[in-house]
Amino acid sequence: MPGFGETIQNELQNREFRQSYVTENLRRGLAYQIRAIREARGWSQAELGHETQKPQSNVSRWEDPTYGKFSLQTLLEIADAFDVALIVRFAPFTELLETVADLSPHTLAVASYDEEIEAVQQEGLGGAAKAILEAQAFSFSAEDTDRKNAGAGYGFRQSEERLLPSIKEPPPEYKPALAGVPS
Amino acid sequence: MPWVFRTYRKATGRDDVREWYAQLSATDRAKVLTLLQYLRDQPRDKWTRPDFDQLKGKCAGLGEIRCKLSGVQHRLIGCFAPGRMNFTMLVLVTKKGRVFDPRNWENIAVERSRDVVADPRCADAWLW
Repeated sequence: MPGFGETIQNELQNREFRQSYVTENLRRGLAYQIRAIREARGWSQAELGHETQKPQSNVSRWEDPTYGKFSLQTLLEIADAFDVALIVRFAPFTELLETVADLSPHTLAVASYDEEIEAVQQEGLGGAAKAILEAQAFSFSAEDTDRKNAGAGYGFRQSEERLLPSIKEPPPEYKPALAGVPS
Repeated sequence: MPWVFRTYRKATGRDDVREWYAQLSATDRAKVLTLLQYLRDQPRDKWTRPDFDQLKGKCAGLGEIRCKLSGVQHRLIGCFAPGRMNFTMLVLVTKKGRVFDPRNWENIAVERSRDVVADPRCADAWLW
């Protein structure tokens, strides 16, 4: 008999299933991930409510896998409370299947910005943390540069300069994209 | 380590749970599969309401996976057997108000859970 992977791949040939599968994964995924991150921080629902300035009953609803009525604004506020990034974008089904390959709490609970920086300091640059910091160091657009010049700046620049003295120069493949961007 | 979901297969070869799943709409099948997919990767202590509940009384030791399909509460009654990280779905129960279908679901579940322990071959691997 087929396992999960084969069963879902067969079912995905049905368009109605596909669309419902997307909906269900979004609803359930958000609920499970909010709970996983909250528990990884050791926070109660009331504490997450405090961080988001919402009552505990809202947090309970967010963690209900059947709820699914999040606004982008609410998701941004939750991301801010956890100090994690939020990515909302369209994706191919193959990517969705990769995402659901491991839904364990360990995988769902993502580190906060400070935890990532701490990991870099303790373990040296490597893996995802290195990629994040490299991206921060080299992916600024002309708009970013303008904002920097205008004095807006970003809080992470100091830590970036402290942590990344050896990767200040972009690797060759980045240079064409940065051509014309004032340093 | 992920869970393995099994379904109870009668001596006649019939499998109530999979027959029920096969006749669901695509939308409801997506709901059930997604629910099972998330439970698959959760440790036992994270199997909690609203997706799961431990049964008491006559069915103590058994559990129910809970979902609402087309406005009707559905319960997949099962046991944590055979062996570690296995959950065998024994009987599908619907609940409308206070009426359960089948009415004798508790007896069916208990009897089938004993069968699974006595002869694990009646617990057919479905999803893992």
